[in-house]
Amino acid sequence: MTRIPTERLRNFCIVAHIDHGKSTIADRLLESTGAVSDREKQDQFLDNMELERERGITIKAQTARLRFRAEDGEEYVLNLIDTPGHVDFSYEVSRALAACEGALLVVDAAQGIEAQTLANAYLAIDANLELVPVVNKIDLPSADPDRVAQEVEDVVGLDAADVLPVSAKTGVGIEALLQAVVDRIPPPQGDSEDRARALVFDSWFDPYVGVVMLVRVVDGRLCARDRILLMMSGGEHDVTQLSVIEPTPRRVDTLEVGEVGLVVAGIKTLSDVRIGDTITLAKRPAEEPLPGFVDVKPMVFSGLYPVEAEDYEDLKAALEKLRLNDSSFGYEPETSAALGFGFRCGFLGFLHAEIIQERLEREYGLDLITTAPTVRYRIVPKEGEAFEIESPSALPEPNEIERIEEPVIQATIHVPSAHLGAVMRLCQDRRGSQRDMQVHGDRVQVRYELPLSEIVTDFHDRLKSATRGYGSFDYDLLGFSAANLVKLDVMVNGDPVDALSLIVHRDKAQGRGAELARKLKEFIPRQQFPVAIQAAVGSRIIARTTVKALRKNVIAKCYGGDISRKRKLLEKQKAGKKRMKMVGAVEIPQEAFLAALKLGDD
Amino acid sequence: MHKTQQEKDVGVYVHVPFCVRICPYCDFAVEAAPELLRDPAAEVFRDREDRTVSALIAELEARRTAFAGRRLSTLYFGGGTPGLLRAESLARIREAVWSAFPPLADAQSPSAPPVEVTLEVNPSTLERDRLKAFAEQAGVNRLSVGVQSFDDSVLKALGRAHGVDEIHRTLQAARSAGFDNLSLDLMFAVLHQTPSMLEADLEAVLAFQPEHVSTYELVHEPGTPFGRAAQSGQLETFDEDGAADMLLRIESVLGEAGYERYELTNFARPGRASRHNQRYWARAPVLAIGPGAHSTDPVAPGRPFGARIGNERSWSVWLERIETGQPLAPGSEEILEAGQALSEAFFLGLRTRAGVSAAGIQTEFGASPRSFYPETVERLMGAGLIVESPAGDLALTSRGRLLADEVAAAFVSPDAIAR
Repeated sequence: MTRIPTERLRNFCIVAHIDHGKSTIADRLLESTGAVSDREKQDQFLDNMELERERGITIKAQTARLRFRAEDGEEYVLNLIDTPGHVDFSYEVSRALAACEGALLVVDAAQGIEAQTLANAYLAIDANLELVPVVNKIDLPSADPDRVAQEVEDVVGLDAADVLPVSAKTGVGIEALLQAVVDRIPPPQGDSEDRARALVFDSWFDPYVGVVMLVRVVDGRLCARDRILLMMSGGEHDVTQLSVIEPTPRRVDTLEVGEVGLVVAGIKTLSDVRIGDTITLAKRPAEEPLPGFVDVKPMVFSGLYPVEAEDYEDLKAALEKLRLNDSSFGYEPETSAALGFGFRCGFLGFLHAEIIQERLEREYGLDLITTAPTVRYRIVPKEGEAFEIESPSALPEPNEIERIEEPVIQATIHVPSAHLGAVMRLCQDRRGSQRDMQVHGDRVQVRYELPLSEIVTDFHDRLKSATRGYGSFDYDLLGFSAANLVKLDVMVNGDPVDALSLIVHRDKAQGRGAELARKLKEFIPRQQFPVAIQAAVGSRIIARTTVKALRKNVIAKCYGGDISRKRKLLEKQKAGKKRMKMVGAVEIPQEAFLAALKLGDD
Repeated sequence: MHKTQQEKDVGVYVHVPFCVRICPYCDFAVEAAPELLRDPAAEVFRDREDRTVSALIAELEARRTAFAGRRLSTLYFGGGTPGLLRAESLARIREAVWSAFPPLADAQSPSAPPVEVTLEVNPSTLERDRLKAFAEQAGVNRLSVGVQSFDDSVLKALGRAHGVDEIHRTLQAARSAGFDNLSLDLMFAVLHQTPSMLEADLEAVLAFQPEHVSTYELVHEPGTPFGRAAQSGQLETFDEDGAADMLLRIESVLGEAGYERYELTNFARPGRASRHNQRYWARAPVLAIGPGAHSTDPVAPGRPFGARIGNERSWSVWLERIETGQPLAPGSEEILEAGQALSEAFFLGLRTRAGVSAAGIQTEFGASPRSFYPETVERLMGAGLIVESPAGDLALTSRGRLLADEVAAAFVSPDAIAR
């Protein structure tokens, strides 16, 4: 196959709010350029994980190289770079954007601009991308492409006349869209004779070849059998394979400047490769790595415990496997007196945490107890240096602490003006402070500064229900900020239930404590003695309740026909008791933990 | 009754599934016979009755070999409502049982008690009119009357076909017919029952002076109308403390009146305990016939702890199997293993006043009760739930009787295996 000159290369991505049709457009582009034949076409080729399909979000970026004959009669290579579609992966998104010169900004013709549309548009603008606005789903009866085009002009500042009307479903406007990519998005810059620099914007683990890196060559070229250097992590490796994705990989001898492709270099562990790293040649390294690399740390943590203790090894194996393909989450063994052996896991954000938990349960068939998500706290002790903790149990005694700082985010919330009041109440309730507000027609965009800990549990669900599903939000991490935080402990008959300890704002300790005690009482069955449930901050009891002692447990009669049945019932009862967790002498069923950990759901 | 004697003889249980109507809490194998509501002499029922009796006898013939050589100790007609069968039908069954197993008491051992023949009856005109014939033709010498409550509103809520007047007439008729061994079934912790309603029930029981009282708590069994109502939240579970108070009250009132709580749900005047039902708690052999009936087969080669055989529950399927000569009870035979037998010995033994016999456990399983459950016994004794006699027998304390299922669950598997 003849090599296409750099002037006829285009690297672009698609940015959109969830469900505005990013994946369908990608499929249409693949199909209409012949990259996917009908036989191998799946509904949404680029979204290949079961879970993603259900949630409509893309976790792992994938890319495809399209060949398109433009109106000038020349063949162009269009690299479509797929970006992760949710807020916890904003760093990964920024690296994928950095691999592009342009982006399609896709907006639903009925719904118009949403929080993520804007957040992604700003990210793309910040990355100096040429934006091609697209109004999708013009086939819908409720579509109003003109109004949405005007919204694009008013809110994003792109000319309404440049907005392309498209229906990815029917194929209308796809050809014009491809032509617009050629016409409006500039070809890559860069000199093929410069020292090689390639941006790693995604990577994953393949059981046969090891780590696969998805790269964009920014300067110079990469050749098969080159010895490469990863500039940030410092590792040297020999390239064994270079491929382009069409969308199945095809081996090539070189990746030229401006091109996008796969690099395999015999790397065994995913954590040796970091997103945003720069590949250069070991013999003739570049002087500077590409800008924009950030060492991303998990911000949200929770304990994952198998419901059945014997599933511990399975859980461990599943976590190892998941981590092979997602180095952004971490885990280490943790032991809880109440829940037994498990793992403390760190995630980029709460959605990331949910996805990992769901994959563990669904793909690996594990039954899990998940402790309440907590965030990374920064402790400034009275003596010594500040440090960060990832678990409430690591918090020092109150008298040793000068102050506790918590991560703070900036939330961008987009909502119909009718629901603004509900959103403001929610944000205030979550200790938020408003930063600004912009009104666009009947929609409002508000920005709040909020503690991360206040959005990790159910903020998203609450926002959705407060706005009947019309509110959307996105967030950026701002940094750490001091707050009046305390550790809330729960005790049954005087023994602390470590799995239920929380770090909360002092003003919320009372309410949270009472709620925890009430939930536990509801689910702890009566035992042969009374069970006192207490919530405490330090040595001060802030809420208490009691489960009365069991008085009677004797099931009526037992004659001939009942004996086997009765024995089986007792066996079941005993098995149920074995599954209960012992805190001191108190038997606590799994449901009690699950209910307590789901606090705030009702 | 000494255990070793029970081991050598046999009790026969005959399940008669018919009821004029089916109570909403019942989960026994029952079959509605509504034709009897309109006409007690309905010909349609006559046919069902005759085929059922023939099938019961055929089943007895098919099963008796496992019990060969045993003498008959007890015969129990349960249901359902076995009193819906005519006396001559019960007599046919009785004769078949007698010819299969000679009674314990005969010319060689005249001192042995006569066979205890129990019949369950409900308070109804139909059955009341037959009481004399049941005694004379079928040899019934013990009646168990399904009273349930002496409160009309409770009876109505329970879906019973009878009222309080009917109960009194039946009880009087039973005495007039010469029955000197009567048992009443009484339900408590039932629906809207209050403590004072329980007092009234107990007064009515004592006024009648039965030889035996069985007391049952209403359980919302899954699959019954009450069970479904409870599951959908339309029927509340009786308050645990209220039920416990009632149980204690029953124990104390009946106790003071001379009834011994010889088993968790059964009270009797001295010598009037049900010999048949005691076989179940002693795990003694019982040959059970009829739909849904469960036999306890004796120890045999390859079955060192006996076996339990459950019959098909549906009357029509059961009948068809027997009439077409198909194998009985396919797939519901359970050959007991040592662990299961040991667990049963404990939970059944603990139900009785006498408790778990140390000698019995030693003979059957080769070691003392404590040696199987050293920690459990210590723990339960420490919690005041069981007591140990000098001989090593284990029995429930009065607190243990309230928490019997907690105690029983602790004996499901021996400590050594549990750890």
